[in-house]
Formats: sequence, C-alpha cells, structure tokens
Amino acid sequence: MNAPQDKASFKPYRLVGTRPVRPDGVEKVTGKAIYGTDHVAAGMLHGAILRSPHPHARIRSIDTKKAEALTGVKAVVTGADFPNLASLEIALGESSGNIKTISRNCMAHDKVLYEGHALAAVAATSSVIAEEALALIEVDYEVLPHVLTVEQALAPGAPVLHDDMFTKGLDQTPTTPSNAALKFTMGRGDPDAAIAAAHTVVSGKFSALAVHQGYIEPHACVASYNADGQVQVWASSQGAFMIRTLCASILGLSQADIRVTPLEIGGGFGGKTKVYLEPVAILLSRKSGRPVRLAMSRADVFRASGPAPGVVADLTVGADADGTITGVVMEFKMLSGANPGNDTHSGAMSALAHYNVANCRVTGWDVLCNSAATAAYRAPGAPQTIFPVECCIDELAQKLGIDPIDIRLKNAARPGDIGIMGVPAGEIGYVECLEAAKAHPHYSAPLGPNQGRGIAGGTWGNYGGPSTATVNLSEDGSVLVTTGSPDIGGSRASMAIMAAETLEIDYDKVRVTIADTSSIGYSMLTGGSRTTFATGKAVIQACEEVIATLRARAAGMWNVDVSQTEWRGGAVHCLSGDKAGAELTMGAISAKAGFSGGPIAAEVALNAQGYLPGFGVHICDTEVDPETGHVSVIRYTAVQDVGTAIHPDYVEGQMQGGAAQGIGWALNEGYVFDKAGRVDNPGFLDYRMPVCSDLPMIDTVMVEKPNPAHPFGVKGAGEVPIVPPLGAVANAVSRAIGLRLYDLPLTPDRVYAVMQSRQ
Amino acid sequence: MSKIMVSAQVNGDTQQFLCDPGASLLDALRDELGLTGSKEGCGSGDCGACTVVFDGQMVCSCLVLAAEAEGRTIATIEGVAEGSELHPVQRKFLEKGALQCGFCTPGFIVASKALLDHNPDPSESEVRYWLAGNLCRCTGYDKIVRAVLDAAAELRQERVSA
Amino acid sequence: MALVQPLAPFAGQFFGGAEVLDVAASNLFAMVDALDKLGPGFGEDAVLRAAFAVDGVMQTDWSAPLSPDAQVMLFPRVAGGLSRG
Repeated sequence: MNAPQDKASFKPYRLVGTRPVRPDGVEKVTGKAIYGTDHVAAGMLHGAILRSPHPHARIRSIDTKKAEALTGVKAVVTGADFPNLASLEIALGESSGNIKTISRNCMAHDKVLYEGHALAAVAATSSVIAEEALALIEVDYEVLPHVLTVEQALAPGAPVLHDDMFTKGLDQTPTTPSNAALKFTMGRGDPDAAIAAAHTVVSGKFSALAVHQGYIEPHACVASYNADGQVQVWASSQGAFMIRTLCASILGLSQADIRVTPLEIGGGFGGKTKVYLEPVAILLSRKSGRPVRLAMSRADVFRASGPAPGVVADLTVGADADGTITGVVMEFKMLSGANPGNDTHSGAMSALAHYNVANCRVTGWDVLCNSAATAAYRAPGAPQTIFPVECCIDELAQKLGIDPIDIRLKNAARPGDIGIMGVPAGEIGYVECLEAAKAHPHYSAPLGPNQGRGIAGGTWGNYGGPSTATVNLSEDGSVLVTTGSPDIGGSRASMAIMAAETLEIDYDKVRVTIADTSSIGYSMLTGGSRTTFATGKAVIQACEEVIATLRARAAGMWNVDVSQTEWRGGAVHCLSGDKAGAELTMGAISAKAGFSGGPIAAEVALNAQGYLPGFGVHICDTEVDPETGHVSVIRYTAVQDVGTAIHPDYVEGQMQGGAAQGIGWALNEGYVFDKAGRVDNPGFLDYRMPVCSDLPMIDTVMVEKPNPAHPFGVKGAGEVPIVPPLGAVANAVSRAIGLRLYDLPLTPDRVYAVMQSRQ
Repeated sequence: MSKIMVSAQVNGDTQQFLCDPGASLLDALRDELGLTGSKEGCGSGDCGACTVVFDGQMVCSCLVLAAEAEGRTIATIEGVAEGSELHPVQRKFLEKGALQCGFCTPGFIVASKALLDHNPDPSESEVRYWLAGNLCRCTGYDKIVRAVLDAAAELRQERVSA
Repeated sequence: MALVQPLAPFAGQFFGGAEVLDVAASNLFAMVDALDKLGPGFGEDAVLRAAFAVDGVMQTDWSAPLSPDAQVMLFPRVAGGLSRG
C-alpha cells in the first residue's frame, strides 16, 4: 500500500528509496556477527554480580573475605571500590544525568533501591566459580519498607528513597525530602474557562504499567584495564562514546585512556543508552589485571535495566459542537523507578504536540519508587501521555457523532501553527498522514461481530546533534565510510545509500564501518531517531568534500581551473581546454594521489540542525472474545510521515516493530510485583511480549514529506511508531465492546471485568 | 567436579569437547566449539535465539545438556549456508529486510529452515505458529513471515525444476 | 535587543516568573551569560537542561549569530533516547 505516497515521480534519486541488501547482512544471517557476549579477549575472566533480593534496604555491611579466598577468584569489588562522587550533573547528549546517581545504580553504596540492584561483583576463572563466590558474600541488610505505586510513593509518611531529594518545580522550595523528583507545568490560554464553556466535555483517569524495552540480547561487555591506566571496553550499546563519557566520569579516568569498541547490538530501543556493567568490569579488570566479561541474565535484564515508566494520568478535554478542541487539562505522574527520570518533560511536551489547542495546561510529576531506574524507551514519555489524549478524542468523536479521523483533521497541527512551546511547526505531515489513513482501504473495510476499529495519532520530536563521519578513498577508488553511530536497525545501509547517491557511484562501491571511540571523532549515541538524519548529514558533507578534492586534483592533472571541471556519474569531467571532454574516475585520481596532494579523504564533524518531528496515524482492528475478554489484533495499518525514506525496508521495519511493541504495551506487557516488592515476571514466559502468532501483517504507508533541512529530506522514523498503538488498540477494543477502557494492559481479565460491568 | 568428554556430529564434522556436567549444549557450542552464532536471549527456552536441530528435532540448545549431545547430530546456524552459498531462507531474509538488529536472526533461520524441510508449502498461519517460539523485538514479524513464505515458494520452484 | 521568552521551569526558577526578557546578545552563548546575570545559576543549569528556539527554529549551535530582533524561546531539553531497532 505504499504506492500512492512513494512519490517516486518527483524523486530524482538513483539509490535513495531503493532497497539494496544491507552491507552487514550476510554476517548476520550466517551467525558470524559478533554481539555483546560473543567477544572473547585473551586470558579473559568471567564476572558475576551479586544483586539485592530486597526492593529497599540499607546495607549495614558486606563481607567478601570468603569469596576472595575461593580458588579461582581473582577480584571482588563493591561500592567501596568506586570513587566517592559528589552529586554532579553532567550533560549527556539530549539530556543530563547525575553522575553520582549513575555510579550508584551500577553499584550500590549504602542503600539498595530495588530488587536486582547490584552491590558486589566477582571475577573468576570460570562463570561457575564466579557464581559460587557470590554465594559466599555475606551482606547484612536492614530491610526498609518499599513503595511501588504512585499512591504509595506519594502517601504521607511514605518511605523515601533518597533523603537528599527535594521536589523541583514547586512554587515553594520544600523542606522535607520526597519521592516526587519534579513537578513540571506548561500550557497557554485559560483551559479551565474553555472547558467550563465547552459544548461537550470528556474526561478520564488513565493508567499504563511500566514495560521493558525487551531487546533480545542481554547487556554484556568485556573490559581490559592495563597497568598504565589505559582501558579497552568491548560492548554492545547505543553509544560507544556514551560508555566512554560515563566510565571516565564515574571512575575518574581520562576519556582518551578509554577505547570503547562497539560490538553488534542485539536491540536497544533506548534501553542501551545507559551504563550498567562497564564501570564494574573495568574495576574488576583493574583488580585482577586481566580482561573481564560481565553479562546479564534475562532476569537481571528485567530486574535491573530498563524499563519505561508506568503512568497515571487525569485528562479533561472540552470541545465545540463541531469537534474543535477548546481546552485541555492534563495531570500525569510518571513512575520513574529508583532514580529521577527523563520522561516527564518529554511526555508533557509531546502530549498535545500533534494538535492545535488554544487553551491547555499539562502538569507532569516525576515520581520515584523501588523498582529499577527507568531508561529511555522509543519516544520516551510520549506513548504514556498521548494514549489518554487519543482515547479522549475518540470518545469526543463518538459523543459528537464525528468521524474519528475527521475530528483529528479538524484539530491537527499544521505547518506554521504555533505549538505549546511557542515554536511554529515546520514542514510537518500530520494532516497528510490522517488523509492517507482515511483513504486507505483498511479504514472502510467492513467489520464483523465483536470487532472494533480504533484510530490514534501520535508524534515524536526527533533529534539532530553532534556526529562525525569520515570518507576515505581506497587506492582503487572504492569508498570507505566510517561513523561512530552504532547500527541498530540497518543504518549502515542508509549511510551507504546516501554516500553512493552523493558520489553518484554504485551502492556496492561503498563500505561502512562503525569505528571505536579512538578511531573516529565524537558522535552522540544512536537515539532520538537521529542517526540517519544527523550522522547521515555528516556522511553526505564528507562525500561532498571528497568530490571537491577530486575535482581539484583532476584540475591539477589537466592543468585547468577547477571551475572547468564537473562532477558527474562518479567521475570528474573536463569542460574546456585541450582536455575538454576528458574524464577521470575516482580510481584514476586515487591511483595518482601520491603524485598530487596525498590520500583523498574528508572528515566532517557537525552539530546537525533542522531536525523535524515525525507524526503517525495507526488503524487497528480488534476482535474481543465475549466468553473470555481475550483481544486479538486482526488487522493493523501504520501510516507515518517519515520525511524521505532512504531505505524503505528499514523504515517500514521501524514502523512495524514500533507498532508491535506498542501493541504489546497495550495488550500484554507490564511489570508485576509480589508482596515483597520483587518482580514476579522477570522472564519472557511471564512477561509476555507479542510473538509471531499474536500478530497480523502490519501494513505500512510511508508519507514522504521531505525535511528541507536535510539534503535528501530525512526526518527520522524510529520512535513515532510506538506512540499511536496504545490509543489505537484501546479505542478498537472500546468500540468492539461498547465501553471505554482506561487501564493498560488490556489483559483478558480486565476486559472481561469491564464487559461484565455492563450487566 | 570433573568434566565430561562429549563426541558429536556438528554441522557434518565430528567434534569432541569437554563440558561441565551442568553445562548446556548452548554453552558448549559457544564456549567450547566457538560457534557463537547461536545466541542466549533468556536461557529458559522462551526466546528461541539458541535454536538448533538436534537429531532432526528443532530444540532450544539452552534446554539441552551438553552431555546429552554424545553421539548425536547437531545442525547450527553456521551450517545452514553451503560454503559461500546462502540458503534461500538466508537470502530471502536479506532481500526482504527481515532483520534489524540481527540477534534473533540465527534462531529464526534455523527454525524456518526446519519448517520448510518438513512442510514445503506452509500457510501464513502455519509459519506464524511454527515461529511462535522465536522472539523478535525489532520487526513485528511481518517481513520475517514474508521472507519465509518467499523462501518456501522458491524452494518449491527449485524442486519442480530439479 | 533579542526578546527571550523563558518557559517553565526556568521562568520561575531564575527569572521571577517573567514572561519576556529583553536581552542584548550577539549569540546564544552571550545570551546565556546575560541571563545568568539576571538569574544567577542559570548559566550552569542551561548547559545541562536548556534548549533554545530562535525565530521558531530549534537551535543547538549557541555560537550562531543572533539578529538584533531575534525572538528566542527557552525551554527544557527533551531527552530522546532511542530509537531504532
């Protein structure tokens, strides 16, 4: 169903928009690619981490003597081996982080804040011995009462996780510590008056549980510390430079002394934008003098990494009789786990970003509890705040008798509209997405009994930021592109396409390497849907510089002014003089590089500006089993403004994968805790992510509205598709059973209970 | 604890290795034989990233003891291609963009090949249920299912023309 | 003089709730310095948390020149994080 939007007619590109095999593909279908736990260093030891069985406890003492005495144990570390850092915020890419908090999340010092919080680690000659040694470590805990829900965390007298944390953003600075890290309010106009005067008002109290990013590859790394203080780290993550920055800050090392080699990454979705193991592995290696591997088990991954915050949200929307939204008031509380989170700002700023609302107030709270410190998850914060908005708009459409796409069209943000932050929208494509959804045959297909169709929109801001790329010409004229952006979902292919398009050469003439942190300049991590946009810009500019060099070299060889040369078809052409009409290929010029200015290469380091948000509209059909409340997704279509799709397979793949994750969030996924505050479903059997037989084909419609600030029009596509599904699924189920649903996930028991409430 | 000597046919070669009595076949393949194409995503048989074919049966190698491999025949992802010639399932995964991070891919390819070896003409639904023991978090399965159906069609065509 | 519109939490935290500030600055570095004088501590916080839009366009290059009548919005930086596969 991509044909109408592909706009192939106006695309003059040779390669952009084609679907060649990715350059790293064969290694990945033959099992040769080296991921986190596949890397082996000579003489490597095996590490293991002791994790807290309690969700909240003071550590009175840790005795590691018996573990150290076990034959085969080469090093034991605890929080006492970490530098005692002062509380210090450092800038980290798009946001900031407190380096003390990050350090103590890697290894607890005086308190454990969640079940699974690391508090000691061992390196031994085998993993069996390392595990045995863990059992010999004696920890004296003073178990403290724990909190796991917003209500518990904010109750008067609730146990406080951090006694130095005072709520930010209140009118008056509080004098007592609290589990509320932040209150953040934004808005404009007079929403209370607008709602009071509205023709129709809908409201609801919504919730969604914390969910895990669910990458299939557990976190893993190998670290090797040398006697001179130089360190090598091999790790799978979304940012080798992020690992370098954090390890240097936590351990007091020089960044140039840490060389991080990015291994292939088995999924991230935002969850691999933090360090958990690397600083610990470095310390174990420093103590033992040998390389050390650390890896998480799946249960460790669930207990101690991720998740995305759960949310409770109150929302009231007022509208005119024609469906124009006149006022919105929203208050939500994100459950950020053991440390302050990053999703409150982004959730508040995203909640209404796809609509033009004159009067609104959005208040977000960042609330802590005794579960793992949350991490970014694909459009962090946006699914949780947009889900209630999309549900209320659906209800509004029903009450007013308006088509659910028409009501969104009536209120949709358009280019030039001033958003909630006061910034006018650029070349955004929400309206085009809504129109494409309305025209899609899925939208008008008939429904059977017990079936319902849900619509939801959504948006994510995307990002640009710093990236470095180099382009080197081989002696034969083939091209090597190097970046520092880990390839999570096919970005090597998009870099090769953009380079080959710019250079006007064959795709196969370009090879792409993701370099270690000592071999390429800084790039921000792969996240924020920034890589194809920002790193792509650096690659394109480097190719343009190479073209300029090649023209200058050819001009020198022909003894003409460079203005008398032209780049065409991957070669320099001479336009005048006695060599007019002559052509020099990249190989011909490169072969003579030793007789001119030397090797031909370019490096571009930039801070990419001009990124634009993406928008999506999803259509979901569900069938509800009236006997059990079980929900099946029977048809699904994702429509998205992706800017230009460089490699459409991988853009569609982002849309399909994001939709599947969102469907999981809506239907099955969520953290469950037992009475002792321990994660009750820390495995794939009980934490139920969608499997192949749960899903239908996921149809995709790429609306390609190019970004004028990127040479090929890229906007970024990875995050938007997880935003609409929560609302789309909930609206579909609500329409199937004729009753509103407010709490995710929509497990059979919950749906059944709501259906029973009708009787 | 003394180690156990195991002898098995792995991807057509006779291989011998030593293992701890409690070691899984996955550990042995990865750590003793260096066959790291089989991945550990969970260690509990829920994700399928370690799928291998064991005496003709598709199994999660994390649920098989290494010592059980004695005298058995094992096929892993490393043996799916014939030399430098990719199997049609592998080629279709590439052509259809059926992988993103690629971590689950070896398990999916071994499982898909096992399906097509005994059912050359599966329906979409049969593919989905056969692969329900393999988790993929990146793709939403759409392109994987299409790749397997395409590979099945190509293999049927090859059989007809052979 | 560039007009700066600080949004929450900066407006309340540093600038006494001011809705608009009039600041002479040739670029955003100079503007952050000037704002730090109006609201001590802002400069340090800005490096960690602030994002700017200049004349309606997000600007992360603080050295880019500001026109004398530039309209600057100041708001919290949004953390993306993930994305792909």
